[in-house]
Amino acid sequence: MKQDKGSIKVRFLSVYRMELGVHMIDHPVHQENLTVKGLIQQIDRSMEGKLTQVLKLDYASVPSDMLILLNGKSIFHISGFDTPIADNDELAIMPMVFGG
Amino acid sequence: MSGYWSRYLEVDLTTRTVKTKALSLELSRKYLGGRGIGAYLYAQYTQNPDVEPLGEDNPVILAVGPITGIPVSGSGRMSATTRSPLTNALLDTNAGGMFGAFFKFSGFDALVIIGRSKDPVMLSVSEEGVEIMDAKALWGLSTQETTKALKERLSQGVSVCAIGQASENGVLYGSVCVDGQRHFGRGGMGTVWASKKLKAIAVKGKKRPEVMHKEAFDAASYELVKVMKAHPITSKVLPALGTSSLMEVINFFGMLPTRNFQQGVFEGIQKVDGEAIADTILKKQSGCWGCMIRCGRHTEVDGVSGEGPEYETNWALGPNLGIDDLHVITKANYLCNSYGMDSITAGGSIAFAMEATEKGLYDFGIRFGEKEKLLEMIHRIAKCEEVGQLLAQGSKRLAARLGGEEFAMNVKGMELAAYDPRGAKGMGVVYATSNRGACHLRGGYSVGFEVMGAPRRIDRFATTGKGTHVARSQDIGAFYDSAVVCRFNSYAVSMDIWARILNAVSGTDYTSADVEMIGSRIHNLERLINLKLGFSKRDDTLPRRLLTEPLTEGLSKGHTVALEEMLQEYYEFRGWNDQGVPTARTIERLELKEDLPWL
Repeated sequence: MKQDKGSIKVRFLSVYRMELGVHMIDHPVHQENLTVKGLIQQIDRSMEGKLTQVLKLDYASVPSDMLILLNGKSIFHISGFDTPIADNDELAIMPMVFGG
Repeated sequence: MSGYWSRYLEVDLTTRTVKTKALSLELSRKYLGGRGIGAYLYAQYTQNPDVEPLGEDNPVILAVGPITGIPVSGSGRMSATTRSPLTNALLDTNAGGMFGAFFKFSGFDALVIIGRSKDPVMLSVSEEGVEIMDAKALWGLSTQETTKALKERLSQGVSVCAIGQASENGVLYGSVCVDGQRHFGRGGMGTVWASKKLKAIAVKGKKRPEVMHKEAFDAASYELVKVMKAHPITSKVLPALGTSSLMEVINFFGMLPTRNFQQGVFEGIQKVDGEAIADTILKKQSGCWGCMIRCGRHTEVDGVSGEGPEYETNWALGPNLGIDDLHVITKANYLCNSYGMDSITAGGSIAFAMEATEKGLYDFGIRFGEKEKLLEMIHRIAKCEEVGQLLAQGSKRLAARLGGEEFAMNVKGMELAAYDPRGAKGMGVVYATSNRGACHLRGGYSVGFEVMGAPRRIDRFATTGKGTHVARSQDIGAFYDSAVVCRFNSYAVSMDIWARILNAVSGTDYTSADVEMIGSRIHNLERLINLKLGFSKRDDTLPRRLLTEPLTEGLSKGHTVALEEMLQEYYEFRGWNDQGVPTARTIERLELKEDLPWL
């Protein structure tokens, strides 16, 4: 039987927060060797596919109009969607925004 | 050549004479229009550029560009150039709304205003030329009251630029308000108008600019529409949340200047961000002439409606003052709109006052977070009453008089914008080298590549490469301001598409590299004017706080700005010597010598 190992905080910013109707979730971790892709897919299932629909992800590479940060660092500069993610990590997902 | 009318208006307010003058296609090709032609004409009209900002000899140049009024998104803007009374540097400022397109439809490329009237006047511009009209009855009215009065007097179909009481009373950062909503905001353009007793300009016209190669234009503009509809920023984020969509993201990165740049994280962010605006005070989106994005926010608070706040104002009158009440921020924004006053410099000056009060330097009677005192303080500034008279001078003059230079957050006398360069080092070069003082837009907006990763992802804390990226970004920005098109399109639309549109409109055969080179020429021309005005490498710096005080929390914790190494790379890329002076070879390469009589 799997045991919960802890949780990962996932924050959605800007229009993602608005479209998903959620700012932050505390996602329980059920497995070792979890990647960003695996985590997003787990959350997507719990949201009945809404996350993939809003983010329009194909998991091939990080979309150029989106920022995904693991503990404040872009996963683009780590291993993209294959970036390992562990208990107590924080993931932030936001669209590229400009203005001023 | 299409895209230009090849003529401009000259109005002498001293002699009350009006002339129509030719503007050669060669010059138009060289400086494009807008900001570029503005700098060129400024140099010609002053001969020696060292004129008093509020003196009779300081010209005001309003100019459109080849793309203004052409049916592509973001082509409704216009540029205005003069010498700034706030910074004493060359100033160009750029506004949206309808005025730019309407001016283009009048059949002129620019309007040069020289001299000074004895009594308040306004200008009425149309295809027939320009008429100087009495404006005594308008003096003392707000920007919105003036706009309303002129639309009733002339026609609802005119677009109106007007100054408010702030400029009339001598606030050094008075703005010029477009149709009561948008602003030629920074640097005191309105204050210069007031010194000339120029209250307003109304414009109308029916002449439509032609496109030289229609098929090529249709193909390029089709592509522009396609990429703008597909890009989430231009199709989703800006329309839904406006520019305040940045609030939460910049705060997340720990670089939202808070309490006069003492912190980089604002605890009350969710009360003031773009979503809070959409959820509470937004009545409808608003947009400039022909715009697909419509980033403007038409809002309502306590039964009063108006424009804003957009990101910079929201920050300047909110987090930077420790205020998290969106209603108060919005009311303060409305007041700045009405009085005609730059909200960034107003906010920066009040932030200085709050810190000075808290540190015991001088008691301005207001501290961080005292939202109930904010509106009264803005009234006092606009009327130059009591301490408002001091704050009307901006933070540089405040510090020179009272001390506290280390927390006077300006460069060359212009207050910084809503990005702390300790969290994106290139922004340090941006602020330090912007020709009009600490401006995020004129300086190159490195947030794009440092934080958002566009067009390429670059480490925001690195220093190597930043000088080069910032210089190139400045040159591209100079193209936008001269063409004239809205920079917000640039997030989706490549320079290649813009070069194709420009070529189709005006019959040129520019590549994107050519266009960047024109931008470089314009930036260098401005630099040479500023050097002649007495600016030097010592002015290419940052407030001491940013150089020596690390941020203490959030994702930019521990960082300061190592400016000098980035600056030397910047100078080298620009073809300037180590003192920041363009070399003879650079001046020759950019073909600038013949246009600067005093060089």
